[in-house]
Amino acid sequence: MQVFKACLKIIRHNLPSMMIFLGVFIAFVMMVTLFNPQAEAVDFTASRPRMAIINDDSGQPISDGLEEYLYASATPVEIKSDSDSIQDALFFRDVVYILRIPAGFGESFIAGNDSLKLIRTTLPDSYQGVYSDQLITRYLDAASRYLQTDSSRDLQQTVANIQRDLDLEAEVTLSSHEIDNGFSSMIYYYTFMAYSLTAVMILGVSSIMMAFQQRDIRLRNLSSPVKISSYSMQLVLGNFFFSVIAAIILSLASLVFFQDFADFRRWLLLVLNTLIFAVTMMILSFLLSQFIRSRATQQVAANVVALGTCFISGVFVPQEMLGSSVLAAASFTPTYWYVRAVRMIQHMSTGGSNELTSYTNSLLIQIVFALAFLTVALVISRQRRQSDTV
Amino acid sequence: MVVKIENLVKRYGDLLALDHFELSVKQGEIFGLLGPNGSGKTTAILCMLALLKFSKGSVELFGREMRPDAYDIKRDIGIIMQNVAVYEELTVYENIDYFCGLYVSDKSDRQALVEEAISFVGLEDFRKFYPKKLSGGLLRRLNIACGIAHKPKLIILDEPTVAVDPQSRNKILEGIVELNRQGATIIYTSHYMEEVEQICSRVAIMDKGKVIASGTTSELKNMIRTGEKITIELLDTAIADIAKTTDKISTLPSVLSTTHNGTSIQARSEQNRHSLSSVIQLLNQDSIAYGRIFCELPTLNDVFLEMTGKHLRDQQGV
Amino acid sequence: MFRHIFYYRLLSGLRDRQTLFWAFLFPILLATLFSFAFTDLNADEIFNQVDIAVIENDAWTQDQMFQQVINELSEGDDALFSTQLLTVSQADELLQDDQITGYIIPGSTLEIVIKYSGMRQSMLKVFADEYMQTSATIAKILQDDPQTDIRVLMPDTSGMVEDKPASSSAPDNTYVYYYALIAMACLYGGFWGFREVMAAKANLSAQGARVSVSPVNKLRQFIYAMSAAFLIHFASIIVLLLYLTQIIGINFGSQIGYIVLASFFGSSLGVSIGALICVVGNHGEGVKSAILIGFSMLMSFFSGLMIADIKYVVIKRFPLMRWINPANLISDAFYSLYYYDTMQRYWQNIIAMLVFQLIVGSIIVMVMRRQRYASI
Repeated sequence: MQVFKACLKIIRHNLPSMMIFLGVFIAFVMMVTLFNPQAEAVDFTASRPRMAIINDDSGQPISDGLEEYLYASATPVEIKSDSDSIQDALFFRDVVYILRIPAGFGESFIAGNDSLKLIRTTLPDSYQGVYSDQLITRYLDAASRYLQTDSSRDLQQTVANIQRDLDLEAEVTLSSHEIDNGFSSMIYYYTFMAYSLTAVMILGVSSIMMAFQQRDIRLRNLSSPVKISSYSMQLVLGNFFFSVIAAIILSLASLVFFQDFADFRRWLLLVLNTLIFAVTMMILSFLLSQFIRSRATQQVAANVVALGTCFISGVFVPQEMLGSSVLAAASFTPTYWYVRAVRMIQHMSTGGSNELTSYTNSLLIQIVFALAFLTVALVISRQRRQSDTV
Repeated sequence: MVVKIENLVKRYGDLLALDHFELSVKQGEIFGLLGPNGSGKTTAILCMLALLKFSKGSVELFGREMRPDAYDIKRDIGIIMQNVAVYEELTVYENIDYFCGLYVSDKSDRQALVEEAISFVGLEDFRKFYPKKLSGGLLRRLNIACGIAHKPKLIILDEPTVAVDPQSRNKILEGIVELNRQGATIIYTSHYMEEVEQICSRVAIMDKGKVIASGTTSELKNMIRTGEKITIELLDTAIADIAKTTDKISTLPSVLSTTHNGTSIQARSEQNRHSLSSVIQLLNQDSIAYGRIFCELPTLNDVFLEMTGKHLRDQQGV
Repeated sequence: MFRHIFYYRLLSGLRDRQTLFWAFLFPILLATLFSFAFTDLNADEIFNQVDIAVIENDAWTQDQMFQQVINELSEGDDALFSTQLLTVSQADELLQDDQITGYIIPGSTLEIVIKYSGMRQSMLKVFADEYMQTSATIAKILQDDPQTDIRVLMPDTSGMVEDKPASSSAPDNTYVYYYALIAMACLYGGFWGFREVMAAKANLSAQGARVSVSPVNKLRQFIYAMSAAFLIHFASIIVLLLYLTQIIGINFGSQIGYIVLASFFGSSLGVSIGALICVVGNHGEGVKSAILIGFSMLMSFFSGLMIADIKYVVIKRFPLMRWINPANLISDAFYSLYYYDTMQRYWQNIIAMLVFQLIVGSIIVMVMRRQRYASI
């Protein structure tokens, strides 16, 4: 077990660097979880769009009613109306929707004239923008219905009717116990952790392996009577130790930050998934590190692999927003299956055995990936025993 | 005086690396700085070059104070440090040209100098090689070429022969003598006393950050009481009496001290006295069966040993 | 002397094949991955049919209008829903097995049962809300005047809103990713600066000791060498920009001069920051390189590389981050060039980069000028 012991010593020697990597990535996960910018994207009706209304038609009941209705469903924002301020506000997402009600709009609308329009400035393709559009349409549709049929022209009454109708809302029942907010943050934490773990594994394992890749050390090891397979397996074992420690540290960190979270069983499932993913990524890193000789290549590998796999596997952008071809490609990465397993745990209801099966399958697929990587790594290290140049 | 160092004190934390270190080197000398590993040789060199801060003392090179921005002094210095200092991505020629270019800006002048340096260290066939492809000895020679191409008046070599094969080592030593013959003053540090004895005109012996003795090799050897060393290898039949025989030899008037180990006895003579004939006489007289007897002159190691009680190199200390 | 040092440092950088190859290739690789991941991101395909169920209760059988609406929305190729009529227990079972997004229990107040919240669930909720609101309106109108022709009650007001874009170019979140990618590529130029410091400092390398005793001012040597490092890195950024504009098709606005200027400062800032990290402190090369990697990743993260919205959340909570995060300055310079009609924002970012550059540069100069070392 000499190689294994040396491996552990090298890990200890590299501890400061490892701690920096781990620290940075724990910081990542923490911040992403705390800021949770994805929550709104997923459930856009729950969000209140940040909206600014410039009402140049104030005093007119239909226009005032629109302003009042929108402000009741949105977060009102005050902005200056010059073009620079508007651009700034949109740029920094202080506001996502600016609506200008032009003077005379109410009267024109009542007359059934569509030449005078509301003027919207928004972030295209943002969910909040789409939702704001829907709110406006609802108001105008209702107003149009009342105005076409109501000859009394009691605008105050019409607006009151609209308001009353638009206050109606369907009742939502959640069949699972997912309302637990702590848990959805936890899920988010573990999803994003795919990125941290991948990067830490590649950076860490390649740092360890770089010590063994040095020309003279490699030659000395290769000329020793230790069998190449035993040599490689001892290295894998040393790195295994590292990957488990890293996964445990990251998992324990989640407990520190979500102390009020109580569903211990589901947390254990998350941790199991994390451990398997960490080991799989460790073996992938072990494979990659056969080609990593310098610090510059090391950071490149970490970046490309971690960012690339996470982007297509739905770590940064939710899986349901990715195209089917992207997801098809992603299913050839362990990251995709890790994220899937996390989602299965998220949606796991008390009785459903379906998720548990999917969860287990996702774990098994990750293990298959690990074994495949290991086989390739061993074949490569066997082939690299002899080469034209050293 | 090319080099004049006075009263130099350098500390690394609690460790006193240079303890009132003094050194003067004259024009045209090959000056050897000899001391065991960790005695402060490299520190002394780095202070001399104004690379290291020191707490006390002064360094003068070519009669002027050496400072980090004393560029006119630096122009006349060449250094060869114990770690090979070349760029991996540059070829043999380019490396020498690069470093030479820091001293000589004229391109055609430089080309001549670089060519001269290449042939001087015998790397003609390796001009386009990258350092990685050079053997240890060739790499050392490249390292030297980079330090001397600009024809410095003072060349400082800090253990240039560490881990070098005998052939390259001889080439390097011959080269140093040749550079000296061409007019350069040389400072040469080493813990290989043989090398220092072989080429240096003057030697300073260092221990614990101090110069404990300096002078020509023979002056140094004269400073100690030990003269020649006699080794007697006893035959099997006589080994039982080895302790008794050793005692007897030590009573001879010219013998300074004796030691024995297993099968042989070592006797040290006093300076300028010869004991060989009296030793043989004694052995014959007592009918002690012996094989070889040989006699050696004192080395710098003996000088160091007598002055400090230590050997210069660990591996010698048996 | 400039030419001599510059030439050889450039040669040395260009010969460092592995570093060079990856420095040029890796932002391009990432950009390609980004464009792949974003292919369908903004496409309608996301909103494919939502599988739902409606509970077949009394309210359902009595409510003709609701039946009609559901049927209409569930028919045709571009149907919003794919609907099944089920009992509560059947629907529950399908819901638990994720076969349907949710189900509706008809009634005077529609009830929606979903398993967890999400985009499709939100769409179901929006539909139910709108249905209830519209039917309330229609009911009120019919109550006031039973003779009303319901057909006129299907108004189309979607044309009542017109867009007035905030600028000639629409703000686009995918651009944030690409701009952040450029910023990251700039910060990773730090490795070139790192390399030059390693080569120049006597306490870090044997080569450093050798150049330190040469008769050329050390600081000047270092600056010459840094120019070579910068040139290589700047070239890699230009290649990246060409790839983004020509192959991926990212719009940077048309002012090529300004784009090059922003790349110039961004690249130089990145190279200098790498040098700074290497020049301060006495840690080993491994630790310093870890700091450089960690710093670059963290700053890129804050500028929106992984999740675009993080950029705004961070700036909102810590307004200072907008100015002290170099990655943010670089990506904003590009973004403002693309997005703002005036140049004011662009220049603000450029000036901030310059200030940053000056601070980093002065610290490096202060440390590099220290000409004697306490230990080597």
